[in-house]
Amino acid sequence: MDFTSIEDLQKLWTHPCTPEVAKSNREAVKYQIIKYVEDRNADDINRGDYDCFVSLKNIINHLTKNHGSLITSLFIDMKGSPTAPSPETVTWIIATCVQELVDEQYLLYIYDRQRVRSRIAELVRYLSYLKQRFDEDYTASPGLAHMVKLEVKSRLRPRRDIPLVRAIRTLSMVKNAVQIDENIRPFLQKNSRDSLISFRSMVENRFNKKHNEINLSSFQLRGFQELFQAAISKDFSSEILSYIIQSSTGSGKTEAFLFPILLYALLTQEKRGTKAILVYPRIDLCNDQLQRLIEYVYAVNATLQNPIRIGIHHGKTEDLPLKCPHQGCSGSLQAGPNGFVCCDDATHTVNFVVKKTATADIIITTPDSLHRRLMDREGKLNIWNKQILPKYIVFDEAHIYTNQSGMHVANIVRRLRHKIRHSGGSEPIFIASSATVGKPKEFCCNLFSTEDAKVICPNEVELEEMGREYIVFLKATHPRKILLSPEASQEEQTNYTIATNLSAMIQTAFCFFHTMLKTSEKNRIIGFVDSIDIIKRLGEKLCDAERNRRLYQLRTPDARLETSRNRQCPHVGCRSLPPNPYINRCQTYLDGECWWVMQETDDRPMSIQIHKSGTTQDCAGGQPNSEEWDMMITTSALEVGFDHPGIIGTFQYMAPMNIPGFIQRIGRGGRSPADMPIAVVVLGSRPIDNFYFHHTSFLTNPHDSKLEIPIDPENRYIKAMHITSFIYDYISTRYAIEVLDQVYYQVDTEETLSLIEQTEENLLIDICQTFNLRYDVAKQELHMIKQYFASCSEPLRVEDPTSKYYCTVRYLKNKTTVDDIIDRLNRIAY
Amino acid sequence: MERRHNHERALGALTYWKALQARSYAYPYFHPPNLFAVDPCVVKPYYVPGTFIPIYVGGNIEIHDVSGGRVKSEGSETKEFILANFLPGGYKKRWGFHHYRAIWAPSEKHLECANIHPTFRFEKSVPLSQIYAESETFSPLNIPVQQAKIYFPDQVKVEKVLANAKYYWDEEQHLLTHADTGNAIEVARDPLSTPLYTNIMTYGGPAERVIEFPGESLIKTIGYMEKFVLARCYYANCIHLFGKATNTLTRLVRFYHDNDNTYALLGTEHLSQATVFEFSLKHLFERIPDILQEDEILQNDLRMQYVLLQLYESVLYQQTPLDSTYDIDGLYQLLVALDYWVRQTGRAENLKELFDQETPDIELLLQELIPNSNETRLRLAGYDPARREDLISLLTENHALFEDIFNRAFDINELEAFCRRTLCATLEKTIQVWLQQFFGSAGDGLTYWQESDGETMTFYAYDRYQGGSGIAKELFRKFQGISPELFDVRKALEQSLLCDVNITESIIHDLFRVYDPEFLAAGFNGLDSDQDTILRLALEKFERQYGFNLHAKKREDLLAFCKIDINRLVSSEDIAAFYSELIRGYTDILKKLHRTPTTIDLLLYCSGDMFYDPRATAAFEKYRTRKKGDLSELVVRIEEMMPSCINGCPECIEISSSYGQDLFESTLLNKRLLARLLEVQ
Repeated sequence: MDFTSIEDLQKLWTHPCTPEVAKSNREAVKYQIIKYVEDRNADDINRGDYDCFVSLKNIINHLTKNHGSLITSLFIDMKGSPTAPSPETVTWIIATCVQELVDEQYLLYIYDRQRVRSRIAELVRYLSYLKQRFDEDYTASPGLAHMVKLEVKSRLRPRRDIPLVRAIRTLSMVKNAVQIDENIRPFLQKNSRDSLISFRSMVENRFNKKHNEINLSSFQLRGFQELFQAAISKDFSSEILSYIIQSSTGSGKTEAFLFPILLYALLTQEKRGTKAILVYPRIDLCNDQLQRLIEYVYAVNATLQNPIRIGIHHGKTEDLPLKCPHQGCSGSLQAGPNGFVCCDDATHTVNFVVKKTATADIIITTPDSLHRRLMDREGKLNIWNKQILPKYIVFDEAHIYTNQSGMHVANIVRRLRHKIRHSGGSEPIFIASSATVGKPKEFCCNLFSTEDAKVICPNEVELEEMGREYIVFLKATHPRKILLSPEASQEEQTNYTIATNLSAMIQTAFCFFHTMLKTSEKNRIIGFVDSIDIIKRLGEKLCDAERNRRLYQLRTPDARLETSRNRQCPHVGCRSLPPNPYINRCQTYLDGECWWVMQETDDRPMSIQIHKSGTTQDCAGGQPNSEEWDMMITTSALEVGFDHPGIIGTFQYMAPMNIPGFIQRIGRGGRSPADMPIAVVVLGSRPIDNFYFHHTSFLTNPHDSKLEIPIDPENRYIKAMHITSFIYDYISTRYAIEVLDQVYYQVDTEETLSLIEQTEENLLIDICQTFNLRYDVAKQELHMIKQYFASCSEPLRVEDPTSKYYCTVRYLKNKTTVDDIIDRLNRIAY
Repeated sequence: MERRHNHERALGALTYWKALQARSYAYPYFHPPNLFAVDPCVVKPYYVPGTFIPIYVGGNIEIHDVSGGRVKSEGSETKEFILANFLPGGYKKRWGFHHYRAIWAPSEKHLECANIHPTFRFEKSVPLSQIYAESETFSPLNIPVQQAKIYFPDQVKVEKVLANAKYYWDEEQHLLTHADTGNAIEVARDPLSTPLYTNIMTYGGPAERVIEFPGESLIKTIGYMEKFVLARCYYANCIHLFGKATNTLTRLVRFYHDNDNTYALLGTEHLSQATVFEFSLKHLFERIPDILQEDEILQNDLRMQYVLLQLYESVLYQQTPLDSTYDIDGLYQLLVALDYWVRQTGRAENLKELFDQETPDIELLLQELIPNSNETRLRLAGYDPARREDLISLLTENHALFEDIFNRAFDINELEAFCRRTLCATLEKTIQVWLQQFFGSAGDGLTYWQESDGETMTFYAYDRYQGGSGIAKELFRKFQGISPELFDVRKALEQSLLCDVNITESIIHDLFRVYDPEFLAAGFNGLDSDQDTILRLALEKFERQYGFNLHAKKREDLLAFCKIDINRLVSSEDIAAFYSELIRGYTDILKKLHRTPTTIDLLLYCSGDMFYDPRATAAFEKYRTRKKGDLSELVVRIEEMMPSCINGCPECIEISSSYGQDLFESTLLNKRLLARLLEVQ
């Protein structure tokens, strides 16, 4: 038992014998304190005690009882000898940890230094008292929050404890575990070492860290190994096995598939051709992924004989919003004749990003563009007619492929598999990736038409508690009209205010921003609303509340900040802790009208932007500065793949339209593992809002069935569209470019029909194999397609046999003009 | 014929080339996806799609922004969405986040209507009488069928609304304007709108293939229609105006085509494929009187549902007794409170008896319910004594209307007719859930509609995508694999009605009835194994009581759900005591009033009946007195233990349509009625 004096303890605290270990143990003790206080606070809040607190005595008792060994370890680290701390020492250590947590603003003393409240509980307290305030007098202000609930969850993240170097080393074992594909063997023999070195540099550059500072999680390593092994294996069959990478948002799924792709691309760099296709459901996501890939390969490409080229294929590649990947440069890239050039420094160039007219090692695209590449000249010349063909096909954010879009993707996958096999490529590996897919195996088998699927995800034992996340549910009051001055005479009674659900959202939004715990890097909020109309209205009103009226200032803790913004502040002594209702009573604080935690840095209006697909504005309707925002209000457009490291808060206005989407939305906050993000859900007065408020577990712990993705890959209607498209895939694969030009670009349907008839048996066999159809069914489908092509040769003018439909409507380069076609058609139509 | 066919082909291509010519392009192109998109001779689905962005039933509509006299295309959007938001009277912030409205003007030919001629370009119009012959008038607005046409728009003209625009409602002309007409009321902002529509099937042909079910089966046939066309006819826009100095107003804007001098309905065409189900409701209809007699609680609940529906219909179509649908909820709760109060105090047997009195003492009753001195009873639900006089006037001035509503509610024939209507609406939702369960999650790609003709209900499950995408066909194919002789549709529907929320809430109520709050608080804040034991026993009891035999997986899911749900109610002894007292009150009210208690009933119960447990009293006082602005938390606290799945919930049959949600859809749902009629639990 120790008998250390307070002075000695203070010295040991400041200068422990084993500083690193002591620091880590001290953080662990502090974390246990936060957990205990937050959980107790959450219990109290959920039973209606918003002015909750936990006594220091209870904290000491709890920690002594449940985490005694941790405190003992800390004491040993401080002292450097194995001595058990005395109860007084334990008390001193815990009290000191609490003091530090107060200094760091995770906790605040309440009324005296014997009680504490967590910062999140204080924020919830302000929300619970929220009123619609426009002026200094709040006595008649209507309440906006009927009730508030708080759910605190531990954040489980895959532990990153495998050094990158060890991960790379284990890859050499992979080679021994499979029969190696003969096509890949020479590359493995010749390029393995250099490729691994380049790969390591790529990762170092991307994370701006030395390789010995970079760790992977087990599931990332498993993904790396499994997917690389499949790529070099002779026996891999894309009909037997596919993969799905599934882990929570922000846990590093992308690296799990990107690392093997980059390594494979480096290994096979001397063979020109596409090694991987990354498919994204939206153009914005393609562009985000392009930025990420540029950052991986930028520095290393300069050292490679055959730089890795990245292709971007979608409908809006003219104006790509790219940032300069050069370390330390904050410029943006502008397209030039020889690639992209940084606007800040012309020596920073990116000349390895190509469009559909050139061959790329890795292509980023959408399902729509991939469908076209299977049929068109760009696909034939730059992807399919190459020495090496795509090995990895990744469908990221795969939960988006529901219903009809999922059926289309499932059929594109079939066509793609056929294309690669019949263009001389080896078996492709199909990979899906998502945070929110229920029954992932079934989904993957349906999407990729495989017998089995391997789910690459973290095991329970690989997860570690990385912190906490908070979900606050606020039930807004029913919309109502309130008379602001009841004592006024009949004639004067026009001073009404309407307290709506939107009013609750507005006041919540600025209370959230001005009172949440921020750091210089973690200080942004993204809000989701399911209507463009409401986004704009919310943006405008928030803008007015923040910039014009500065309503947040009405709750400024004047006495603490030495300001004079809150006329209701009685200036009782409350500089170091909130006012005690018995000693220095402050009715304003008790009424929730003093946001005591506000700092000087919170005393500025927030910068608000609003966003919908394709448009971003500042809240006043002007052009936004892309990075200067504190709060972004958006639709589902940013619910997937929008990874801003500064976002620490999210909000959802009204009940979400679907649960997977809601999980994605709150996952936008706290992208770094150590973050403690807050999500605020403002529920209105509709029955569905009531339902979710009283059953919050549907949102916080959704059943697997809520995350199932509906796909029916055997839908014959969708299949028929793809069989029709497959005719062009087939011609592109089997015939010369001139034939493809004639059939596809000159829309020569007569020639198309003739080709079908010439090769009908082979075509039918391919259709049967590709779409898993019986011969008679395939024949029937082909008959329908042939009938249509035949109809295109019918003359549009009965008296003129040369006026064949397809000849009249098509465009022939250098032979006809658009005016000619219009003239011709006008004569027939009118 | 051939000439016309060729003309259409040429026209399709011409439209493509002209559109290309009108916009800047790097080079001209016409590839197979374009060929298949422009040629009307393409037989779907044998075509090469240009994009996989789905087009939903109803199709798309072009948006032309004509602000400032210049025409700018804003592309095309889902027609249902645009009509739901931009019918005359509708305003939205949309393209480029600007504030828009459709171009429309008051009709010069017909008072109280908007002239839709300048608003839209129509691809076609059809006299209503051609497709609707059921009656001489159409919709609850009684539009004369012979004088009405359905107009199918393919383009809408919209214009930006000025940032400082003012909004006036002319009650005489029944029109919204941006300028004061002299008789107009200025409203605070642009109105909110809800479109009103009715569906008419315009082509359904005979079902191609039919599966017949034998004998007494509820389901008679299942068939498949390769071509299914439904016209959704928007007959008015319901707008909500927020008066600056007056109450909120709910008003209808109807449509007229001035050039054709005819009543106008705006139509969208759902072109799809459908699986069609024919149900015989004869047996169910016949059982309604017996069920109502057997189950007094259900009868009384349905009666109150009927009253709520009457209030909606009166306000919406007759603009009485309230100005706005937003106020209905408050009035309905007041009526529920009156029912509780007059019965508890012995002033009347029911509300019919109350309103049958020539001069019921409404004033006294409301003084008791909304007292001046004490913050109790309805004041705890936000009923302000300052508004009491308005409520007294409302009830007394509309005495005849309330008397009529309650007389009809207590007329057994009227109630039975309402039950038949409720049955059809509930069955429609239940079938939807069943089909989603039967078809797997692919059922999400379907949309649904039913029409009833006497004792036969025809239910259509059709593809959500315009032109169809084979989903309904796959559904039918799946039905072809079943044996009609062995198929038990009642069992299938029972599964759809079996809701986790419903079961959990029953179990939780039972736990509170059986155990002391101390036991529950200690049990559910203690060991997991104890919690599991308590819940397992409760679930087994529930299964025995209702004759269920749940699957092991379902049982585990329910236990997990129960555990989460009960934990929020017993996190401490005081809160457990409070909820325990509420459950006692709930049971008492159910026994005494023979109807399912509502939050308002419980609120009055709390205000009047002393709790046995002082901890509950303390919790009640805390929720009652702790003010956050002008409201206390008590009502929402009571709602925490109120069953949310009585007539249906979002977890079972309460499914909302996507656009233009029905204003009073939920008043026509009652899963208990359906369950009783189907003789399932």
